Amino acid sequence: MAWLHGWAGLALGWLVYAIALSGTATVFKGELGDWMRPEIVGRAGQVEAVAAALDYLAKAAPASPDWYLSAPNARSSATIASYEAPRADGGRNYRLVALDPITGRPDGIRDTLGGEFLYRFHFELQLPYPWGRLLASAAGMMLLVTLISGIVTHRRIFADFFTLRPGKGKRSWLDAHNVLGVVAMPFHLMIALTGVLSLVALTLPWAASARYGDDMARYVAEAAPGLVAPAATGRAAPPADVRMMLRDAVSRFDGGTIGQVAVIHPGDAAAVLRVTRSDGDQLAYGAATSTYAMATGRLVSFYAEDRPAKRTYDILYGLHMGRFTPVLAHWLYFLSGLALSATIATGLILWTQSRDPARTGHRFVSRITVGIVAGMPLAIAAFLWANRLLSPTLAGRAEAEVSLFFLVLAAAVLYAVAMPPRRGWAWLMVLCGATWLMLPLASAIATGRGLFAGGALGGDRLFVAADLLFLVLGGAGIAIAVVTARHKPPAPRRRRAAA
Amino acid sequence: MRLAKRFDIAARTLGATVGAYALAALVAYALARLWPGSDAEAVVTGTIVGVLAMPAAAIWMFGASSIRRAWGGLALAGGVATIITWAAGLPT
Repeated sequence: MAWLHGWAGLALGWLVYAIALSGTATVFKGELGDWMRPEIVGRAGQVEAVAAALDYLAKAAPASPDWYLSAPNARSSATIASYEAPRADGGRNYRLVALDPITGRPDGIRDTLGGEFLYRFHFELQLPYPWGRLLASAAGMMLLVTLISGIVTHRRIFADFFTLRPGKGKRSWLDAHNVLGVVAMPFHLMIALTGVLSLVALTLPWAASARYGDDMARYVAEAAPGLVAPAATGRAAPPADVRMMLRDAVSRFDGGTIGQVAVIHPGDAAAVLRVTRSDGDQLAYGAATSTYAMATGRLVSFYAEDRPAKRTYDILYGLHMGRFTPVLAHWLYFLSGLALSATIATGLILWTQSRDPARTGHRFVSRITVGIVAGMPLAIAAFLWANRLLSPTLAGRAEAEVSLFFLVLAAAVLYAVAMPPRRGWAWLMVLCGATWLMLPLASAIATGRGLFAGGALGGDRLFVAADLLFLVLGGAGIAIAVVTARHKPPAPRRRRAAA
Repeated sequence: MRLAKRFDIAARTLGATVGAYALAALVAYALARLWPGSDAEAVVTGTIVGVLAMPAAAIWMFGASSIRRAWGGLALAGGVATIITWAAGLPT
């Protein structure tokens, strides 16, 4: 079983580490979006913000077959819209745009994917559909098997939990791996299982064919009865009072707020407005949906999930998304995610340290491991730096931010491959720490907001909190670099008589 | 590594990946066929249990004392699910 734990861990370890770290950052997806769009300072009520956004979309994207909106909320002040737009090469694809909550327009807001990039990377890995999702599922399943075999391997799991032998090289890595792995083990198991479950419609469609055969249309309709989507008529019709529909929806949400809004076939006589309750105050992912005929304002359907098995699935999915209200819960998710990433990282480092460095294959694996473990947090920092440094009016700047992320990750791996692992690790971690430490300063110069712009005195809580977090992350990076660089590998072991 | 050991590991790995997925698919299919509730509920129930079968099978493939026991157990579980599926017939 120890053999399984070691090899299964390594096989997709790099990938699982990248998934875990990007998922950890995604806990603060909404807040990250606000931080990356410093131009948005106004706040508006949800009904007004959504109505303004729909007005804008009617002019900007009348030909799109549907519009999707995320309403602003306490964690994210922009209205995030997505619609189908023509591409430069003649094709069409969905575009993500942040709209000002007051004007409903994107003018003056820097083009960025915000928190959406790391969120998508977390389960799509920047690969075309469905390959990224399949690979992420395989990685999640591998993590689950590795965790279970890890529990079986570490028979002294509770004794090990109280063992930390610092400054002892490999043994310290092992202790850190055990402590971090055990302390948040329920979280690790939960997040791996629910992560696999979140993509199960793609990976395990056999139960659906067992009951529906080839009738996928009936399956989709019965799986999500709230998602009413009538066929378009081809006749145009102006919308009725959108504000009235939105207010009616909110009145049906038991004190809840608006989460997502969709318009299917905008402008058509058969268009519908679909308003979904925010799931930010409940365990389950997805919530009640209220649908209106756009042309008349009449309620077409109201659906709240109450089927036990589907509800169970929604709650398991919701546990993965971790959206429920208290801010404390978000921080616990964030810290547990960091613990999981660190468990995987220390596990990878242990694997490389337990192997003969004289063998070329092992040496190569160790160096790539160094590059990825240190390169991922460095690349995320670079992504945020790019957001501050690239001109807000630069064409294609959202794509440029993403390119910088991958360029820095690739450079880190190349550097690590060229260096002896100990030196490569120390320098990359110093660079990573310094990049995070300097970020608040760069951000203050670029935006005039945050800790170094007198924000601590004002009410700019998000920017100050972000700066403090960056400083802590940077400090931790430097500390790890110093501690590991100071450690001297033990002299070759001499044979000793048994004590 | 000796050839026998290599074969042992390769056979277990095959069972823990391809075999475990096949079992998950069969369990999901069989349970969805059997479940007395509505179609949509049967699909969700079968799928969740099917997903749980995969890591269980993977751990079993490596935990079993011999390669014969490992594959035997997997074949037994898969066989039961197959018989249920076959007996339940195709969806109408």
